[in-house]
Amino acid sequence: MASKFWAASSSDEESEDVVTSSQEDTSTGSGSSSDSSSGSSSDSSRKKGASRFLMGSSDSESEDERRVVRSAKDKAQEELRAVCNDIKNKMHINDWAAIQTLFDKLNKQLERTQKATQTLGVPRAYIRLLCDLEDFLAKTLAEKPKLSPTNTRAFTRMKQTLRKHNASYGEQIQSFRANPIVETEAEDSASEMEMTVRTGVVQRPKDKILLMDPNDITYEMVQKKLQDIAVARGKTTRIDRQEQIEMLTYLAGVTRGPVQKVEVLINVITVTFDMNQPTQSAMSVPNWNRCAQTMFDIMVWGNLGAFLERLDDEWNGNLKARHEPIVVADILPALDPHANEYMERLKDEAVLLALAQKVASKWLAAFSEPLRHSAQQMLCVLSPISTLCFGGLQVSEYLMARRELDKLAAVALNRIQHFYYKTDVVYSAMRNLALQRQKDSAGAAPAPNAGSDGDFKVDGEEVEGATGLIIVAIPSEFSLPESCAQLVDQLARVVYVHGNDNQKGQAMLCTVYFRCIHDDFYSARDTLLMSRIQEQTAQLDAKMQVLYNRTIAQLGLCAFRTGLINECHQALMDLYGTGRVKELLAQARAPGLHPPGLHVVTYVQACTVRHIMGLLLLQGIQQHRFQEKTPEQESAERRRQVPFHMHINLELLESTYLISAMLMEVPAMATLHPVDGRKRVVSKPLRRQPILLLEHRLMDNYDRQSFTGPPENVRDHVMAAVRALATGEWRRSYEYITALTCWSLLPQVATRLKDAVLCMLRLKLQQEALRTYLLAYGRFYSSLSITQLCNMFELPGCQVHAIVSRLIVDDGLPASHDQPTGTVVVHNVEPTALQNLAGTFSDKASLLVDLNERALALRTGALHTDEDENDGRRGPDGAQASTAPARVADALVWVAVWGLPEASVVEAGVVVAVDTASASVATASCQSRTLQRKARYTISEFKSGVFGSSTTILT
Amino acid sequence: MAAVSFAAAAAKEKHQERTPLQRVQLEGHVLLKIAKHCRESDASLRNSEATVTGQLLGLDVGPTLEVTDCFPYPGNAGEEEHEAVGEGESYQLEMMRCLREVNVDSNTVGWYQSTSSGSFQVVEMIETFVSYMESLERCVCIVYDVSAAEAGALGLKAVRLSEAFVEAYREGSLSIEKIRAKGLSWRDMFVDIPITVHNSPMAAALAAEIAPPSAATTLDCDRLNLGVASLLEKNLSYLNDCLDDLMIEQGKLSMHQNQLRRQQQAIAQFKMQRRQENTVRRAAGDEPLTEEPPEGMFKPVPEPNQLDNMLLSNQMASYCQHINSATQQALSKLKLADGLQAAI
Repeated sequence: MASKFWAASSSDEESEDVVTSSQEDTSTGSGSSSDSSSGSSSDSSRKKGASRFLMGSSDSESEDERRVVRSAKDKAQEELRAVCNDIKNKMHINDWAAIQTLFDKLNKQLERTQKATQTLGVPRAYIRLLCDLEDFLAKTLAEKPKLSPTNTRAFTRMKQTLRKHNASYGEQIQSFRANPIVETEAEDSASEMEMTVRTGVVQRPKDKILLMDPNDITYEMVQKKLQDIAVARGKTTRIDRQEQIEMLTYLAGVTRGPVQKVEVLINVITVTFDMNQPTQSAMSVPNWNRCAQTMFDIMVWGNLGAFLERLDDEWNGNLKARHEPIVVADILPALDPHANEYMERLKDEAVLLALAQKVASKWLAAFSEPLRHSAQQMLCVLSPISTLCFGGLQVSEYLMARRELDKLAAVALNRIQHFYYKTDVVYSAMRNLALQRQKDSAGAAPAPNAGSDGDFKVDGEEVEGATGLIIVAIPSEFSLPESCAQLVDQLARVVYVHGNDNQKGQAMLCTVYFRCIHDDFYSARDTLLMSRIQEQTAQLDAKMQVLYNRTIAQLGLCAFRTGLINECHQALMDLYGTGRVKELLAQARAPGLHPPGLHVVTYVQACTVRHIMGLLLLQGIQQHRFQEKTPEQESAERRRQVPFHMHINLELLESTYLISAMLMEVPAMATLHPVDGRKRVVSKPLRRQPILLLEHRLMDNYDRQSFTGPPENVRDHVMAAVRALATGEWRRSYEYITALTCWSLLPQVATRLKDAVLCMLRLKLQQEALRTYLLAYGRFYSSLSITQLCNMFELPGCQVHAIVSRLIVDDGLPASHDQPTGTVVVHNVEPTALQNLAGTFSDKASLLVDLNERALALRTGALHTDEDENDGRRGPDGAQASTAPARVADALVWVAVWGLPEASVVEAGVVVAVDTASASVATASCQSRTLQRKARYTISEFKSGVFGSSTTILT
Repeated sequence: MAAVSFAAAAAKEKHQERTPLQRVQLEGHVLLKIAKHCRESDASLRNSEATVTGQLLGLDVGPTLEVTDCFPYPGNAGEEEHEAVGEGESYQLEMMRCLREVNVDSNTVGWYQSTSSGSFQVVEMIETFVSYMESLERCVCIVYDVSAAEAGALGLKAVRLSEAFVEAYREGSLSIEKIRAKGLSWRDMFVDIPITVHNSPMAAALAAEIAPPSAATTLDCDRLNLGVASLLEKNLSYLNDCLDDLMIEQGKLSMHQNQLRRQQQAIAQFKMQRRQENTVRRAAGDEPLTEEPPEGMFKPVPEPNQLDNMLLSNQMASYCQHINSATQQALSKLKLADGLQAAI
């Protein structure tokens, strides 16, 4: 009986192999290999007494499991087998009519099976039946028994059908006939088995070890079983891991001694981790819970850090919203960020944190125990000057401790990553939840409505046990401090002291992010700039780059809330300059053909040199913009995604960026494009100022529309506001801005903040409107009353005064204050034709110089990257720039001097001529200093440039 | 006798070729004729862009080119182009014949033309020069600047093309390599030849007779006029135009470079493919193919002509010179006025 049983199970397993394997089992090679593997395993188990039961048990378990989990596939298979059996039964009674109908049914069933198992293979049972039918047909033909007329008709038809049908399966049939022994031998028992399974009448054979009295199980038996599982690990066989886990959990209960128990538990974790490929799918929730629980249980040794990290990854993976269906077979559906499951899953963060804390403290304890200075060690670990404390330690101990501390840093970083994006409200909500859960941890009931407000809203009634059966208890020693800032700071220090460069960088970015969220702009910015991380963004890995981009985005938001429009704009400009914000922040996958590459935003403050690294990277991306993504890139991108609850609200980000751009750009536009359409002479530095191309583009698009409806999205709103602001109507502009819905999304829920931000915006709008108004329309006034300006823009007199003065100083408004009357007197001086010409000339000349420079660079292959114009350019061709350029230069100086309006007045008589001429010289010397400076600037460029152009090209 | 004179003429010819042209001697009445023609046509056409031209007649004596007479070509503005050409030629021949009959020097030595603000350096001029030089080695062009004359100065220039440039030009399109090999630069295109004006004693006497009293003794307030603004404006706008053209040239050049680079890449790719193919063939025992791409597969990219570039540079140089001289004069006047005021 035993041998029969063995044969049955092995053949059964094989048939399953054939069915599930996606590759058609056409060659005898693959079939025999699977045969031999199962055969050898059964051989080995036969040799070794008790263990054979274990092996057998695993097999029968797998059958049981198949019935439970892969029911659709399995049912199809079973039905197929049932039809086969039916046909066999009919063959015994020579009922050809029934055989014929059943055969049709069988073929239909085969199709269905193939669909269900998603394979094109043909089950061996089917082939076997075909063979049998063929044999039986031949036999019947030879014997020629008496048959009823219907039967005879059916028989002849069957003969034809079968001949035709079998032709397409010829090869398989041949291979089957070549090696039919196993199958035919096992046939009966197999069918028997299937019958039992199908009907469920007979008790399925249980694993011996499960049936045994726990007290009888020996250490060796458990050890053996454990070994088997360990051996099976890493093999690509279709061993059912779920079943293994169950086995292991059972084993954990019956182990002899704590050492073995721990061993078993660790195996539970590893097997659970093996169940899914992290690159493709995330772990299922119950499994995750089991893992977490197991980890709480062990806490002795093993690579806890790695386990923890993996657990964390899985948790994140679970949360990541995936928009496209993925064709991997047994993938867990991604969670919808608005569903309750997502919330439920979020609550598990506390478990993760508790686990991390426990691991950390465990290590701390392990670290300090041999040294017997636990208190001091705590201090060591947490203080930045810990290295000093190590002075007295013995070197070997120190090194050992050091190794653990590296992992400690990893765990600390892991914990930071759970805190850095939380605002105070969210943090306290999570803390409450965790504490609540800690209290309830004895009971199985999930935490009720703990987080009462904020983004972290939990609906108590809708909690369902659907997510997991195992509720992980939070241990009582878990605690979260009141202040999140303190915690983050503390953890960051641990990382700074013990982590490697990458970890330190991440911790630093997290800290910056955290500070940004808490409106601490200056310290955040200083930390970021001190780290000089922006200089090496290209070398960072993708995860860090995403974090970096997120931090920059948050920095921009923070600057905006603080009212630092310029800083905000600088931070967000790079991010929006690419037009692919979502991908940069890893909040959405690049659509379709977009490249997987990640552009890094380089944020550098005005004080430091601006990098062009980001742009270069972008170019690199664009060249494979239209290439298909490979599956690896696809999955890498998927892994990079940030889970939904960590997203930065894009609408808020966009409106922040656009508004900051608007506040900077509208006055600049007023300078560049005056209302009367005449182009004014714009000095070069002004044009060099970062002008928002995006904004301009948007503006152009907006202007091109023949009909503009009421604003709908963020962009429309801001555009409408820009239009209003461009004419100085700050009230309308403010209305448009306040109509934006995203203000309620400001990270802190308190309305106080929203009001504060809007107040700030109002003030900024007033100021910029005044500036724009003066720039655009100032020239049409001969004088402006300060009080009227105050009324118009609802600004205090001193502010108006300040803005006007600033404009006068910056050459934006040719005016002066008239204190007694409280007015601004405008000296409207239109530039003469000559001045205009000189301006265009200098522009063109500098443009040509640039072009020339580029041409030269193309020829020589060396690109002058830096901006040192005069000296750098002079170098090679300065000597050749001979008299002609010098003459141009001189000429331009005179142009500058004579370009003044006074010069053209000199027309009449000696006395007048003398007077005016001297006056003009005087004015030229004092008033035209700026003009001269410009002229000289042009000269120096021109000397080496224009004539250099011909000389360099020609020589 | 005739043979001797012929030999002398031949010797003279050789001598001429050896000594370069050093000066142009202009008869006073020729200058007046040129000025009259240019100014009148300018006034009549009211179009400063149109240039008028005329023939220079005279003698070539050693290093000096004596211009003794001239006659204008009929203005061709507004006329049909081909008609003008035919008529112009017949007119020219007719005039020459008539002049010979009245015993005037009928030996062509060049031509004169009017210009505005010295913008005479154009392709047409080069072409004319080259066609003249085919028959007449030592010809000059006298350029009369109308705008300079309006400003009260005599803008007269005798120019010819430099030998090196003509040589290079005749060889075809001017490429950068060729220019570099010849050591040419835009400054070497035109050669200015000093002009001396020669008057017959009778004319000098007449001039002395009708000349007004010396300007130094009269109070001429007009001399202190600082009207440089219009001149500057005009020159600047010309300069701007030139810059635009130069930028276009620049664009052509960079486009050429791009094309060249792309072609070189293509060639390199072809060679690489060939090499791989050859290794395969060698392995198969076949004869390897040549690595050089077949003729005609890659046509050489035509290089933009550098002539325009050089001409533009020349033009700009002359504009700059104008600006400089005008402003220098104006400044010295100002300085004078300043000193005067200080004295008062």
